[in-house]
Amino acid sequence: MGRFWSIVFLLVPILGVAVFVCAIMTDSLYGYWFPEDISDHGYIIDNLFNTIMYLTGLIFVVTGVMLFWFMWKYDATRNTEPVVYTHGSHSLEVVWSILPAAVLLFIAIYQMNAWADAKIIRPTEIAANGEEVVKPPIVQVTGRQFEWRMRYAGKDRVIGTPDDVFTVNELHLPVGEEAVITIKSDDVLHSFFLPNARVKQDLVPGMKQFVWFRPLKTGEFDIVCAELCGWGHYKMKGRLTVQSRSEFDAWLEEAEAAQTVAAFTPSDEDE
Amino acid sequence: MTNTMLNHGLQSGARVIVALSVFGVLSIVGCSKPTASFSENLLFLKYQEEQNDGYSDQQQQDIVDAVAALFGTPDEPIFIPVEGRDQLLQMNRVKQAAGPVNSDEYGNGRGLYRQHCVHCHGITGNGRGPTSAFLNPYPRDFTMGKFKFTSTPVGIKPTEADLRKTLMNGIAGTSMPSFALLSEGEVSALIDYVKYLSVRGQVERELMIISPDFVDSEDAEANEQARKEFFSSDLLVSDVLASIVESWNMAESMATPVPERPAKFDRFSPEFDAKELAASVDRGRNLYFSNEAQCVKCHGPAQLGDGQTNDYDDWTKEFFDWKKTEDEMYPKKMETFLALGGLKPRHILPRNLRKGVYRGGRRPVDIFWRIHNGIDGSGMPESNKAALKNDDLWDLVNYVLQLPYEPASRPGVELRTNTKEVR
Repeated sequence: MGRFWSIVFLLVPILGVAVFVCAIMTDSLYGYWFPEDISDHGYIIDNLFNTIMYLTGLIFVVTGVMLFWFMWKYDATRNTEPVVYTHGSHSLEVVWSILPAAVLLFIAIYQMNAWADAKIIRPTEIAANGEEVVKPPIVQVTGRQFEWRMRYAGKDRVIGTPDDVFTVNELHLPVGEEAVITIKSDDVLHSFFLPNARVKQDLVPGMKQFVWFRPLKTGEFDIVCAELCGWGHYKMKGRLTVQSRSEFDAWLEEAEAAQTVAAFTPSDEDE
Repeated sequence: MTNTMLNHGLQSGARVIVALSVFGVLSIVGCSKPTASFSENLLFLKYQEEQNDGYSDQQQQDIVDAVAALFGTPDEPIFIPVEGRDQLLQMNRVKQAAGPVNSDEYGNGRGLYRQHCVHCHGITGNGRGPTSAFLNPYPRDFTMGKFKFTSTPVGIKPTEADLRKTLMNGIAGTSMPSFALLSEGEVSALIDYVKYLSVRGQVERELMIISPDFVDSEDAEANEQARKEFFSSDLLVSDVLASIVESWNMAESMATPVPERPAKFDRFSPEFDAKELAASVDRGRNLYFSNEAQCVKCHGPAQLGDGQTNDYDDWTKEFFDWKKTEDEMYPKKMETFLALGGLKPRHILPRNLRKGVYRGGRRPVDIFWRIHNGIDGSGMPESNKAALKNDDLWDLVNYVLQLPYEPASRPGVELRTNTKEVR
């Protein structure tokens, strides 16, 4: 076999980088790279992702090439000299301890605001009395095997009151407004994932959580479950519709009307 | 030294060969799927068998053949053109929902039933798919032709709109999810396929009931003659199939009309009057406990659905009922019941009205239908029409809709949120 295996191992970084380059180059054709970003904070997440990916990518290539080089150079069939044991290099050890520590520290500081903005600092609004208060959620999304049940706060902006509006798998949001969403699970672990908004949050049964983002583009986008939740996980899909405020209000009123149907007259066409 | 190395070489060589042959065998076996076929309703057969004298092998085969001749296979469904068939369903839709999961040249989904429904409802539609045993409540068995959440009175089939609503909204509080994101055509195809499975199941049952008549005669030749005549004649089609199709088609015009609920009760209407609604809710509460409505009997004094907890639904009761002695039960032993594919009987529990989960839909019209018509197969009876007028029913609807918002219904407090410690 000789140097065969070293070549095989060299293929790992080469193919790995090739796949990555192909995915980016052909993104407009096949869409194997990131989905369209419709949120105002999405670029921060993407930048963070790219930074970490380039860092780890670099390390991946360097270690892959080194693995190849050592296997190539010290191939047993070509090296007849006896093995030499060394104690190691003190300065090398210092370098490979401090360098990763510094990189990790950099990532920890670099991502701090992104995490705080996405997970900790809830958007605020100015209340009627002039005070700044946390913005109440517009809708509560409950994950359930295998669907998303929405409960809109309705006119009083409070969830859990008789004027709530219910829909299934259809999440509508007004464009340009900070949307705060309560998320819960009815049964098992799910993950509420809006790929286009760069929002992802695990749902834990018995725990109420919030996610928020500001959609900037109108259109229809996917809601998917990103945590294996059972046999039907793959089809736990919903649809996010971002529309103008007036369209959103009209849609909500329509949903209200559909929910309050309180009469039925049989049509004659079946006769 | 060399010997051991040689041995090693041989061993690893042998291992490679074994691994390759296992892979080869798996790739052959794994790729050839058995053709899908409808399963016989063995439970109902056993039920009939223990009540009657039993079936000969010939009879049993006749039933299988007759059902296959009328309905085909899961891959090749047929529905012979009896009177009313085209009103009941469209064959192209049934074919779109049947067969293996696939898509045609235009990207339209095919084999929809097997993609979305089969794991719970089963290939035969008997509610015994692979995942059924893990679900509570169990998935619906279509073969009895009974459906719970309908706009029609108990004993009448559901309308097309009822089935569509169940598919679009799912059934909250059960494992039935919503299929709202499927295209309208796909939902229609699934509705027609459910009808097809249901009619097929009913016909099969009907044949099992009729069939024993032929064993009465002592004369074997006469039996054979009668059998042949029966299964080759139009009698089968016109008597059995057509009457079941008719019962489905009839349902479309039998949906219970619902008089408009006064607008003063409608929270979203400009005429909404909170005082009137509160008064109506009070009247509803009194009715709930009254002898006329008797809701309290099952749904309990605290509306938690704990009034009665030891009844079974009709799908279970057909074979297994606590009110029957073991001698009256068919099959006689629980082991037989389970061995034939029956799911372990579970009690049917009245709905906890404080949860705000409405299986048949949360629109006032849905709840009116539930109270007015009852719920087929569940033990929920229709309302006492002599004592309760429509206005009383609306009071009850208002009461039921208001219950989840009473302080007593408030759920436990959730764990801390992910923002609380910061703000």
